[in-house]
Amino acid sequence: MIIFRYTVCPMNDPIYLDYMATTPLDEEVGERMKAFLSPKSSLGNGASATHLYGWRAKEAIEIARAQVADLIQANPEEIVWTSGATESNNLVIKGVAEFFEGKENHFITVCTEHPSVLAPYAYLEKKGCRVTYLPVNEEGLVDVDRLEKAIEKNTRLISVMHVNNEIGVIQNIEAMGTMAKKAQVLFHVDGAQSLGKIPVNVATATVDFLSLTAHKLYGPKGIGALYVSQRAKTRLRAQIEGGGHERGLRSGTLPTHQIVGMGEAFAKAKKVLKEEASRIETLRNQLWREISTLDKVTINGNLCQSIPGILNIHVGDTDGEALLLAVQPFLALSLGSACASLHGEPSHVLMALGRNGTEARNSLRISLGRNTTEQDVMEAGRVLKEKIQWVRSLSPLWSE
Amino acid sequence: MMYSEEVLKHFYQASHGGVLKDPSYVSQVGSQEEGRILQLSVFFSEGRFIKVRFKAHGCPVLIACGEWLSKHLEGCSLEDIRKITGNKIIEALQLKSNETYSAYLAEDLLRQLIEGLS
Repeated sequence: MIIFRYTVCPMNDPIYLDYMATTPLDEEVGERMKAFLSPKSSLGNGASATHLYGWRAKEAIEIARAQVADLIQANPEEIVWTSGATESNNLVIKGVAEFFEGKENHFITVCTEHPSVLAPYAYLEKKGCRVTYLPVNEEGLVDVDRLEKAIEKNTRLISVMHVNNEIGVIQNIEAMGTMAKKAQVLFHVDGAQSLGKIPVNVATATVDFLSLTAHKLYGPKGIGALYVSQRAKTRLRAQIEGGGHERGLRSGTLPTHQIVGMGEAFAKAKKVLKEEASRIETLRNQLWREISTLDKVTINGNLCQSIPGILNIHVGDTDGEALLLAVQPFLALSLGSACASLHGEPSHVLMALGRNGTEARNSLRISLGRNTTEQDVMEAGRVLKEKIQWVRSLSPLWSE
Repeated sequence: MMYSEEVLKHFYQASHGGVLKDPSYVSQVGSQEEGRILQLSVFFSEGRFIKVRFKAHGCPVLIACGEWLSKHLEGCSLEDIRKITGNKIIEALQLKSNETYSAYLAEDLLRQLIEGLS
């Protein structure tokens, strides 16, 4: 790699601290998937009902469906396979809008949602629907009373991200779900960043739709699911037509090996969730204690109301890109979300917290996970302190 | 965020960062509001730049520009640096079209420096 020619070449690959972007495939998950990747074992199509190969594939798919349902306390028949949370979000938002087409329709979401929610809602606005984008407070939390006041008689769907992908704050979906049910409005939760990190129970949270993805909890990329409650399934129109798979809600041949991987990842997440969350939180707090000794380093969000592994920090009197490049040979981090990093725009999430464009650009997202060790955290703390001080030493704004 | 090899070299090997004590002149352009500031402090004697140091607040390209300028000014006369333009810096650092603002800011800095020392 070019960058290593001009730096002190590290002995190892950078320490991976971008678990919110994606997670490494768990070894056990990979082994389970491999069993369906040989020429013989990959033969069956889960929709082929007339021979052994199809039955085998279908059996594996249904076992995985039950594993996914189990993590969220749902019934297996409420799980619809998709290609990921982005597709699930699009299916819900456009599918519900299509059900109510021809009526005056209003939707509610939050200004800090993932682009895979904001973009379909922007699309609905162009089609003539009204959308309310709720603001958040300086910690990224939605005022639940404000949500209640925003509900109108024509409100069809409320979409809220359970855990924010940039700052990790946890929204009160239980209170929101109760409110939505009382107002008879469908309630959609994007669970991409909460599954496997904190407990999720669709019954307790009164959720109608829950978007799921595998690659954020050590499963393969390119596979996800949508939980559709019994109440909501008649109010959703399919967005991909074809062979009528998934009870007509999402056509397309199912990728057995990926589904098996997702099932295995969810099953493992259920087993290790509590212990893993505790370990990762301890490491995160250790890292924060180390870097918070520097001046003008503050948290974006609220650590007490966030998932265990995340640290989104604003570093004053530096430039975020310069800082990121300085640590790049040693640490794999991001400035915001992986999606936002494609476009180089300041984070809309941080702007919603009240940060200006410059402050939003001078923030780093650090996220720990299953494979993060104490040595990683100690080294990360050392590197971050060293590089923050180096970039600051180059700035005319900084004085010791 | 893929930078050219020249930008990376000047960024990671920046050795002219800092300020001079009792400089002949200090020139600065940009602002905190813009999110970019470039500053040069110089020892200028007998018609030549003896020592140059830079400070940069901004993206890696700006820091690379500061390092490149500092390296190239040392030993030069005012007449020499009149020939350094933003386009020359763009070429030298192999900048992409969305990175050229740093080079033009560096050009503004040089014009200010020349004016201050003339």
